[in-house]
Amino acid sequence: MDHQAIRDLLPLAALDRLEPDEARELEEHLRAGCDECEAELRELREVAASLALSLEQESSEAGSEERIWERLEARLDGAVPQTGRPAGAKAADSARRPARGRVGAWRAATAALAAGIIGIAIYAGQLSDRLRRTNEEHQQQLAAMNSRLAGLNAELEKTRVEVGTLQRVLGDRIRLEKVLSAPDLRLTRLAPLTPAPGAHAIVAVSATNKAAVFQAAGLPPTPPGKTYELWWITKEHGPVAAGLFRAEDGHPVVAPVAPPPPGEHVLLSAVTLEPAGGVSKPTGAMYLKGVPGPA
Amino acid sequence: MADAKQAMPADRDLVVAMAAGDSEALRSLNARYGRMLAALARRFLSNESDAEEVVADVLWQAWREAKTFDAARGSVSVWLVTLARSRAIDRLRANRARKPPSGEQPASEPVADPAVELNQAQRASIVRTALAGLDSNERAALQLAYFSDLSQSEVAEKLGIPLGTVKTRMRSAMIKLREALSGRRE
Repeated sequence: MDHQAIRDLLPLAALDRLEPDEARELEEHLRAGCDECEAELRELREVAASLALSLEQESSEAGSEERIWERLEARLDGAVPQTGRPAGAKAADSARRPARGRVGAWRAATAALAAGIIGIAIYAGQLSDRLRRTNEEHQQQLAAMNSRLAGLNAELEKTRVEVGTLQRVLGDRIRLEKVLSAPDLRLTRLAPLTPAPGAHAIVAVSATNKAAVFQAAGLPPTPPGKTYELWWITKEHGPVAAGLFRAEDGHPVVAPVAPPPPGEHVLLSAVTLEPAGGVSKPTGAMYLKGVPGPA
Repeated sequence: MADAKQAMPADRDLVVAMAAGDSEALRSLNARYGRMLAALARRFLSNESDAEEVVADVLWQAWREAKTFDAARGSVSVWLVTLARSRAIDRLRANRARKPPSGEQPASEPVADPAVELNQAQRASIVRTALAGLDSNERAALQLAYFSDLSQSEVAEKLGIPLGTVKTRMRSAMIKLREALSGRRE
């Protein structure tokens, strides 16, 4: 790049707006000793800096000058060290400043030493404070993570319960389908009695599969401390417990139950409300009753 | 602060006094340039406190480096303005790294400046008059180049003109401004 091309760069250089390769060319040219360009660049930098003057009445809040001085005074007094500056540099500044008033060399040296000690003490205090704050922040982060972990564990446990329930329901459905598709399927429809006028149920039995599934709807929710119990009432042994189940509001019940004792003649099937855990013979109110259908 | 203004020592004398450890000279320099530097920093930064911190950093740097100040390389005002602009851009970039920008250049509220000393007020007036005399396209390119952190290409994109045109306008504006300001010296 010749001298004239470099000169054309000077106005942009003064604005600090050269592209990197242009800046390199200019630097090399100046390093080669072009006094003319050096002088012109200096002059143009004055021009560029004067642009800042045009701002003076446009912006900056009243009192900014005083606030800036307060910041500087704090630094001069060592109350607020400049960010990132080591204590030693501040002490050096303090040492460079003359003691105010007429003091002897001994007093000046003492003042410088004291300033150095104070500077180190302040720096140490700040370091300690910074470490304490960092530690507190880490503790807070740890507590937050623990809390989050506890929440995730609770969600996991809840999900496990839900999965268990779904697996059980799915197993019941599969069992029901298996029973319903059995060639020796026998259904017993249970009709509602006075305590549950809207209820109905069906028991599907497959002797060859040695399986039975009970399905009901409309039963009142199981009261606390109670359970519903299904019975086979046979000619040979009377009521034989077939299984326990719970009813929840608005949810149909599907539960695996025991098939009737082999070889026995079932007269009736019934559902009663019994104490939790079930009983060997019915004691509570009867909610559903039905006669087995044809095989 | 007012006393320092009355004496009106040259900027260079203030820097020499600062090099000797005279904190009153620093105070005078702040009285002379603090508000103007804050206004400059405010063009880049979204809040006054950041701008004032930048100016405090600049003056503190001037205090620490007063001994090495070389008048042959430029005036005190250019030194301070260059430092302030550079530090404001650094702060702007640091702020951008911390959070995404909420908008374009912060618009500063115009504030009356009754306390500015006469000499500076006259210089400011000359600069504003010179700026007003520029072609509006050249003035836009010049102000965008100086009062923003945009590269030549970004200025071109922002103004919707070719890169070569941007360079020409910036160059032309600077030359015209220099001519308009000629005869005025610190």
